[in-house]
Amino acid sequence: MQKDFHYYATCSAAILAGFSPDDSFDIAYSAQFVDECSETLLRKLKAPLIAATTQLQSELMDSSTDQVGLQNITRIWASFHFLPRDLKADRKKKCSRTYLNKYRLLCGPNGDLLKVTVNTARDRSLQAAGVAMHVLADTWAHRHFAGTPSLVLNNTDYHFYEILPDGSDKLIKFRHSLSTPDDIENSIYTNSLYQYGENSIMNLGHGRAGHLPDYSFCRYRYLPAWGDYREIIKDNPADYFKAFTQMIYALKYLKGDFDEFNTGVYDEEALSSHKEEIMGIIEKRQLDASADWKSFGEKLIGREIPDYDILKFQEEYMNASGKDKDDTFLGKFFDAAIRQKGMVTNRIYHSGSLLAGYSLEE
Amino acid sequence: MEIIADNGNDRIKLRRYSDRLVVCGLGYILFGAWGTVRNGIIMILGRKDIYAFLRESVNETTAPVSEDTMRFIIYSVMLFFLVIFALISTLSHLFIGIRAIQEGRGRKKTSFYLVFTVFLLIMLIASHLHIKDPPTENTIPALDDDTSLAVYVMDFSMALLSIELLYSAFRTRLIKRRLG
Amino acid sequence: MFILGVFFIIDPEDGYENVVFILSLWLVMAGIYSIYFFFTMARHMVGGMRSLVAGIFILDLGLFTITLSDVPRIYLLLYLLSINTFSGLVELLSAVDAMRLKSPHFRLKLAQGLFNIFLGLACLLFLRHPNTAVYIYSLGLLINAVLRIMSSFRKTAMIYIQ
Repeated sequence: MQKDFHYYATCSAAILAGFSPDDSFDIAYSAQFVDECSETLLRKLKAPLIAATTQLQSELMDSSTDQVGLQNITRIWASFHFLPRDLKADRKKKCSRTYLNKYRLLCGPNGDLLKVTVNTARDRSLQAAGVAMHVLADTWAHRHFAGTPSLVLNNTDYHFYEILPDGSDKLIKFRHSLSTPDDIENSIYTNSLYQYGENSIMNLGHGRAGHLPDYSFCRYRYLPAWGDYREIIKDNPADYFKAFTQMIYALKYLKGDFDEFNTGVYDEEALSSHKEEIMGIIEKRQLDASADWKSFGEKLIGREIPDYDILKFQEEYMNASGKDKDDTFLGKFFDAAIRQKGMVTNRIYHSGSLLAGYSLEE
Repeated sequence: MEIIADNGNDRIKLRRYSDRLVVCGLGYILFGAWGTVRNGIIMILGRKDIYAFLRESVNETTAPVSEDTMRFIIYSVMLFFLVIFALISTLSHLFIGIRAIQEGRGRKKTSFYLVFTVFLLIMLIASHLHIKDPPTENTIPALDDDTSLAVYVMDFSMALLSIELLYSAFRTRLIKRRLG
Repeated sequence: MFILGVFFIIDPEDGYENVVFILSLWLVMAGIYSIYFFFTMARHMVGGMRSLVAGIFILDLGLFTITLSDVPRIYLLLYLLSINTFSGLVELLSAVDAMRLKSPHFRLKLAQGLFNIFLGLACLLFLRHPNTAVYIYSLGLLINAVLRIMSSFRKTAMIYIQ
């Protein structure tokens, strides 16, 4: 997902869940910051590199794809952007252990790890809530892809059709031009280059499907590499709506409105009068829905939602010293990020896979 | 809007065999091109021996011409046949490969390329079924023996690829007929 | 690569036969790995058969390369050069990609790619003087080896998370 959903939609969800406007801004900021907190930024802030929640393209190009490099990549992407749905999944057909370990990293909503992610954020900071909401939202957008470089899981081929609003199919043309924006009118989108190597960076996540999973309006059908020629229909409008309503439910739980968080529950009641407007935003064919989500959120609270500013809390963190850093906005964010990364790495390790590295925690 | 994926058994099989047809087509082009290059290298590297063999053969039958002229004629003929062979080989593999890819992608369906594939397959098998004569002084020497393993591997793979291509095309057409 | 380069310099007359043998062995192993990859991983993948086809192709390339060790040097050198130049082109493309993605390390890849292509052209110029061409080629191997060793010293970290 992009800033339009991670920042503005999360902000609106927090408002609908009953958080105050200021708390909602903090949650939304943290949710979006997960997409910004790279090692490059952490070096600038002199913050612990272990708190990285994303990797810039240049960092990815620079990282090695030996075992240590792959583990680092998997730790970050599987923890924050491609939360595995079922670490005990099995395939009907016999396969090697290596394949099975990767297969189990496939992202999807309503998995056990999602419940643990939300519970990890309970009774903690607003920043932890923001991190959890980013992870939750991405389980819907990035489903069917894995947060580890893998040709055999994340590849796509020419069988890729956009389902247009009138119900017809249009063959999607992929190109590899990073500077040219996606052309919605003609279904021409940018994706990553086909790379033969299993562990090539180009085969990380949904790179081979371009930005399509991040466009809320898009519906498409394709053959996932792991799917045994079964076609998958990705209905982003339906998924984004579920993500939004599940976020409201999760945020209410984090606020303390009830005692247990269950997967598969969506708070549609909170939307009631807003459902049509929200679906309108989600289904509108545009590359960036920030303006619409912002306008929706501002209507809810009756005041302006500040634009996202990556520099907002950096000075506070850099000026603080020693233990005081932990009490700053970013300090709390880093704490939440490290906790989330540790939890996911631990779970993956205990499922019998070393794809995310070792974990000392029992 | 309710959208349902078509994942019936036949549909899945159709995708699988169509994709296999595309891969076989690509493999056919690749193997064919490499086979042409490889055989060309073998012929070029063995050209002196081939020349000697041909020179012996024409010695008694032609009117006396200068050695240089004879060399020029023989090498020209060799080059001509090398080029012709390369062209025919490359074009035929390209033709079959492209037709297979087109059918696999659902664009064009013809049957001639399948007949041609069967023909090439028979030729390939026949080329390996000859009984090897004991070497004599006229036998073109051992460059061919050195490359035997590489040739056998590729030709065996080519034969399997041809069979897979034919099978995939057959299954694809059968399933399409069933689906109407 | 370093050792191979030294081999060439010590014995330009015969050293390259051993080099060709090692190169062919590498190709055979790459082909076998690709076939192994198909049977362990790619057979579950849509379009995975490409891996099998590629593996057989590389295996055959390697087997054919083994048989070339007793042909005239000049052809072997051409063969080695074409493989080297091809890898130079691939590195160049990779550098262009890295440049587009604003990686700071595109310069190293670009240098490697251009160097390999320049090496190929230089050896072609001196093809009529095989010993000279062999020395140029071995110098190229040595420099490539050093560049690869340099890039392997980039920082990596082993992290245990508690």
